[in-house]
Amino acid sequence: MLAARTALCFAFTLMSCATVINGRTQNVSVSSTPPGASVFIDGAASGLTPTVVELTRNDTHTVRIEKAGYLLYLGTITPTASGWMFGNAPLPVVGLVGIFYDLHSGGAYNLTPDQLSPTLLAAPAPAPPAPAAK
Amino acid sequence: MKTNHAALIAFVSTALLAGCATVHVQMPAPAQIAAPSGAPGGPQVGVAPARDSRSSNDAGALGIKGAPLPLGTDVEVGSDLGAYVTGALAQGLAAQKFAVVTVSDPTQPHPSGQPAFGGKTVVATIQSASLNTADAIMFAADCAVSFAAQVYDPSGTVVYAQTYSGQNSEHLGAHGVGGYEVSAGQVLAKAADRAVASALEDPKFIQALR
Repeated sequence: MLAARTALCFAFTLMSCATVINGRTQNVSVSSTPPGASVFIDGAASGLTPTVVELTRNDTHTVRIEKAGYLLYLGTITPTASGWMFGNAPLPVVGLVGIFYDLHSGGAYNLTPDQLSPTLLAAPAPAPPAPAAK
Repeated sequence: MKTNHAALIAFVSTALLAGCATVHVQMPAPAQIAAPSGAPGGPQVGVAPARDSRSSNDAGALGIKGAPLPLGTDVEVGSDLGAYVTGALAQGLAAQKFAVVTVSDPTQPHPSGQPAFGGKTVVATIQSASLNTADAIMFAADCAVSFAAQVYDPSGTVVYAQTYSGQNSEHLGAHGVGGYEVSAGQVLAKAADRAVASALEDPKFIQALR
């Protein structure tokens, strides 16, 4: 009886543990070669490389990295499942509450990739100015 | 009870021994892409094999990244994405009445010392490719492709460059690992097609090729 109660209490502590362990956001490091490029996450300026950005776990994020003299870099950071979701499994029925909460909060997800480090491609040199017409 | 424990231990052991499976995405084969049919007499343009600036083939995961089956499988996108983008660019340029010629990389020296191709050449460089879903059966897979397109003149100078991207979100369906390799390729190909389409809709890019 004691073992059953202990197991039940343990199972309840695991409910929504993905949110408890992971939180709603994840830090993603963004660097570039060369460094000092401007980072835009979902269109918003987010500093210069190298930097660490805090992103919501349950959204897909677009990443733009810009630097004068180099081509624009476009990347995507997307959510994948977190293994902590299985903490809801010991309570097959009540655990559904935990699963829905984890999905809603974003704790159910890990962002992939968790670091971006592209090598920026050099942009073509600007064409020399045309000679002035006489 | 002992039987249940033995079965559980056997299941967990098998899962762990199975290790992390990997889905190697198979893009549609070149034969499935319509052959370029450039218009004779149209501006001649070379299309060179795509380069790849990604640091690895890692593109994401179906389910839990790094977990053994059946919890998740990692996704890798290899060099056939570059081949696909090269083919799609050639096909799209041919549809815009360019006479498309398959050429070698314009930055590589030709054995004769002469320019290998007398026209302008476009080279795509794959920047990123991703394909992820929290669950391949319940949720759609989100994927994205971005590449830089560089236009070289016959002297090997880059005269125009721009970055293009495309996204797609689509269910992969229920398959074995082999089936996911094919269906993931088809879903990713649509993202690549959209990236290529955005290049072909860029008037500066088209003008640079003329």
